Amino acid sequence: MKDHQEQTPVDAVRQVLSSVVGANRVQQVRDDDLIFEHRVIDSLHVVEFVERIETTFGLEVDGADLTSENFSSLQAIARFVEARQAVS
Amino acid sequence: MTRGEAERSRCSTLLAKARKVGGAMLRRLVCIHTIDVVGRSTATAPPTVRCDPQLVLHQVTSLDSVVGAAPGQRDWPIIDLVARIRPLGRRLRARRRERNAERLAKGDLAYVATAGADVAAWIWVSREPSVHCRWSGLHFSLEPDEAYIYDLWSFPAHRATGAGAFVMQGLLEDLRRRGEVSRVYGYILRDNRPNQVLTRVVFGFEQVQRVKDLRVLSRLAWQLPFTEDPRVGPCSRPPLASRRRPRGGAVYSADSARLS
Repeated sequence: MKDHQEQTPVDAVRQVLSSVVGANRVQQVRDDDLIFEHRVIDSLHVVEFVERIETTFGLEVDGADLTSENFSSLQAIARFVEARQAVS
Repeated sequence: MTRGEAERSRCSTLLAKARKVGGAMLRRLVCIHTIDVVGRSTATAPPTVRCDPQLVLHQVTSLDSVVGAAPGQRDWPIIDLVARIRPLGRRLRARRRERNAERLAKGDLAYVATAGADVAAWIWVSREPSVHCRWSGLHFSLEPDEAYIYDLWSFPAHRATGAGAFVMQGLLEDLRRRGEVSRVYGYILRDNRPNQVLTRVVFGFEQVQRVKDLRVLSRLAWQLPFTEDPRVGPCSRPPLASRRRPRGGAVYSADSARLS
């Protein structure tokens, strides 16, 4: 079992997504699956998801960061989080 | 702490509170907003959104349709209150019908979502070459294949049911099917976080310009001249809002090199 330190950024994002939409919806999702096209998350949950990303990773996601590319897949979100954390 | 110091500390706390309240009141009277102007190609299909399965989309072409009616529904609390005074309520409904008739006469399209007998949400789109949005004060200059999306409204009782996203999806899907419009624009207030997320992340709109407006009593607004960033874009005055402007989202990004 992975402990917190071994958790990859994608795993951490997966965990945040699970907390919003439920673990069973996220289980089958691959890292590069498009989460909107696969209907893993919908418009009703996306605002909450972005807020959880902010609080979990200590980021402030502003308008320019809110792009469909940054939030397209678990991998893309993890890349975005890493990039933002590297800057701050 | 001496008595004098305690007194001074209390005074400064009261002064700080008064400043805060005064500032908030002043901001309601007059304030400057930053507005994000966003755009999207209609070639890409919009995502299918999850919403209340009862919702049905109507494209409105005349006042005989559902728009303009919305009977007995809660709108803004203040409007709802005023509308209970019968003559004022009649006047408000008449004004809404008049305004909608004017929009339809100009060729604007409306898409309305209903849930049973209730109007849940609506959205409008204009294809006029020059559009002045009374709500934001913005002036949009559009090319023949461009359109401006405005007045996305979902009634409070139908919020969190996906009604707003549903009408947006319907509009984008219809424009894509018609094929006459290749690009759509709209605006989002910077502090409207749900709308920012929905428009950009879910529907893939990209930032094309940033503009400031001066707002009085939260109702009257004017676009402030020379605040457009970049200078070339749909909210620039006609010489700058010409065909010269690039149409890719990346070029328009506020963080990329400025256009002159």
